[in-house]
Amino acid sequence: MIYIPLEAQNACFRLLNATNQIGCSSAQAGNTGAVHYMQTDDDMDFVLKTGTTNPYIPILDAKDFTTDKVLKLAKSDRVNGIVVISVNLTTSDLPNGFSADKSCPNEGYGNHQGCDKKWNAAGHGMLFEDLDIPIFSLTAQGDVDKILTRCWEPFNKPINGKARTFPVCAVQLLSPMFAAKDAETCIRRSNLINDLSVTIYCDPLGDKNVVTTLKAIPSNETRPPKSVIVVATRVDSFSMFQNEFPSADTTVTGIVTLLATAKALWKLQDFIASQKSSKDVMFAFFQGEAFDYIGSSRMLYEMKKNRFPAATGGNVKLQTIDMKHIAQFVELSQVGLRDQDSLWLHVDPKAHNQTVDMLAKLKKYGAASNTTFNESPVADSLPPASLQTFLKEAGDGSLPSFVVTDHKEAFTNKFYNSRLDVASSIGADYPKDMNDTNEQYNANTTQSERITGLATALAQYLFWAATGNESTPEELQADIEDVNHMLFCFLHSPHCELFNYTISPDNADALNKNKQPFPFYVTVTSSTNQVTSLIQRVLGYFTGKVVNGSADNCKVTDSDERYSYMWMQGPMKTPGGSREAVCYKNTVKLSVAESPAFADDMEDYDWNSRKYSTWTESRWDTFTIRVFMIPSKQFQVLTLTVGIGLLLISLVAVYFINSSADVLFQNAPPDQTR
Amino acid sequence: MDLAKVKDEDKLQLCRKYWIGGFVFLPFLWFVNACWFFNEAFRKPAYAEQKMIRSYVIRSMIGTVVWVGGVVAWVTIFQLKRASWGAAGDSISFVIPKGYA
Repeated sequence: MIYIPLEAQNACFRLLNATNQIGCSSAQAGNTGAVHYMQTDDDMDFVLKTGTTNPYIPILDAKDFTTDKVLKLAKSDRVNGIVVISVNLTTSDLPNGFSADKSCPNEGYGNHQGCDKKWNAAGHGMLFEDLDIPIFSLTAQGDVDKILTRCWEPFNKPINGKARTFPVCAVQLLSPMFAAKDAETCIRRSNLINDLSVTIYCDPLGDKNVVTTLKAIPSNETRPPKSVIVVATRVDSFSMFQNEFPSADTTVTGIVTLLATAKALWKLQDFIASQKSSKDVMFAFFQGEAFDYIGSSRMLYEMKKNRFPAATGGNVKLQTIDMKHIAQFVELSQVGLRDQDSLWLHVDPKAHNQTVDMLAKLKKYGAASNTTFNESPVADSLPPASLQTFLKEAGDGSLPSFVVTDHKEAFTNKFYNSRLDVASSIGADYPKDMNDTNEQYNANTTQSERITGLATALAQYLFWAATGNESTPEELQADIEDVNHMLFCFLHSPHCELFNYTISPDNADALNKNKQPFPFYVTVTSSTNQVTSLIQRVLGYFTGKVVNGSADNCKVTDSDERYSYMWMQGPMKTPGGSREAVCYKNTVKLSVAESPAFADDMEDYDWNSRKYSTWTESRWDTFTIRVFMIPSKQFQVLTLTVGIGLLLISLVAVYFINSSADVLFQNAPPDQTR
Repeated sequence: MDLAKVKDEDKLQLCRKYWIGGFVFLPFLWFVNACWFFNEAFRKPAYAEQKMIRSYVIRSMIGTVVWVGGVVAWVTIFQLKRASWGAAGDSISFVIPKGYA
């Protein structure tokens, strides 16, 4: 076998916004280079200066995959690509952390001009560089064996300090991207039909926000101003490599907390809804926030056009919500790695006066459920949060709001927006001797206890904020079992009871084929994001009521479109047996989360205005990586020369033979020679 | 067609047809004209129609050179500048390369 193919599909790909392209791409025919396992600084010199079998494709361990090394390698013309070993990632290899994001995430798109504070200290913006080399990440031990044991060691590894010469073992990386230059160019080209066929070069990033309201106020009832409490969190993350988006602290802690809070608060939903003077509570899970606030900016855009959560007209729908209806805005952003064992409340300095009571109440409820809250001393800026989109609109301090985080000042999460933000770094992994997935599914972890405490405190706070009454912890206790289940399903394997219960029977096969957790990357608008769907389903299950129905009539049947009906697989009738499907009725809605710059009704958007996110993802064919031997350049030239020489000799020989054919071939019969 | 077997007036008419044909954006006709009738115009011993044939061949050669110069100039400019022409460049391209500006 000439080629040894590897199975890795996790390559760095290209993203484009209004002005730049970032990320990586290989040449259209792939990039080939001699393999060199870089472990020391001498190896770096070898690859960049002294090695004789260039160009190289260095192999790096995860701990060496840092921004300055990668930039040095990418700039050199002796380096054609990079391969990173990401098997059994342990964050202990990188004590300083690693983040593919900038040190100031979403810079320029929040409520500040430029960078206000370097929140993400471990981030050096590796993803935001335009690297013209391909980079692949190997997560399968088999791939690592092929490239190190079968390729590097026998052929390329120096013997006794002496470098090897040709023939050497090389690797070819194929990750060619279709789009180039910037989003405006690739979108324009996707709309051209120059060569009689349609080629799409790139797609805008986006998906759907998941939204639900406690009081289902119909469109024929007015919604009083300042009568909606928004409680929000972010769903998406990113990293350098396709398929590697674990996002444990970055977003999963916030998602699980908010879902547990919703379930707890909904226990008193009937009471809250029955009080005429109570405020409505809206839970929002924003998508696309990692890319300059796609989801929240689109929600605001729809609000301004009176189309959120649904455009009025026709049947009865939920009454629209607009900025003027929002009474306060609470956001959860990374709540897993508590600085000094406390959660930190970040308040916009302009809104400080209005939040004093709110913070005091939250601290009180926190104390009752073993959760400490403190105010962040950072006085002049907010961490990156969807709230910033709304503050931009609200202007000067008219929106009482705060962000709950685990970091006092800069992030405690040293792996924000990276492939290393894994369950073990937030204490949501299981003891090594616990191998049974059922045990893991139900196990209490340090993180699940903390999340439960936070969710209980938050539910009580929201009840007080909505009704003005106090509640007791028992009435609104969040359930640690739900938190255990959710952490298992989102971080370890989606092949779990909670997801199987809430999924539609049509999607059950697709769910159970996946043994890896679903990725937390927003992907493009045209493809479904499984995480969004699962959040929608779990939220519908936690906040919904069972209604009689069958597969056919589990849907809106009258003119009341306020509610959503979800047909779920339901519980197993007997352990390991078939399931009894059930219909849930709730007010969970999906709202569009595509940047307003790409909206159908956006005319003449100024691409340089930086008003809305303009991120798009390039399209590509398949990713391929394979390993084979290559000879020296001289050998290749020699082979070609010999071949051409043989061709010329054969032409000359045929000419001479042809011209003296009658002399050479004398056995023709006599009548033919005349 | 073997020109050795063609009458002289017919040769002149053929050369003239190729010369006129080249004006409808067919510079290759001029090139063929110049190559094919080169021997007739310059190498053969003189005959009546040769003067006219010679003038047609020279004009065809000039036309060929002008066209080659024009095409080379346009191709060079297009290859160097297409990327910087943005939308205008895309609108006159049949095949837009993937992965490059």
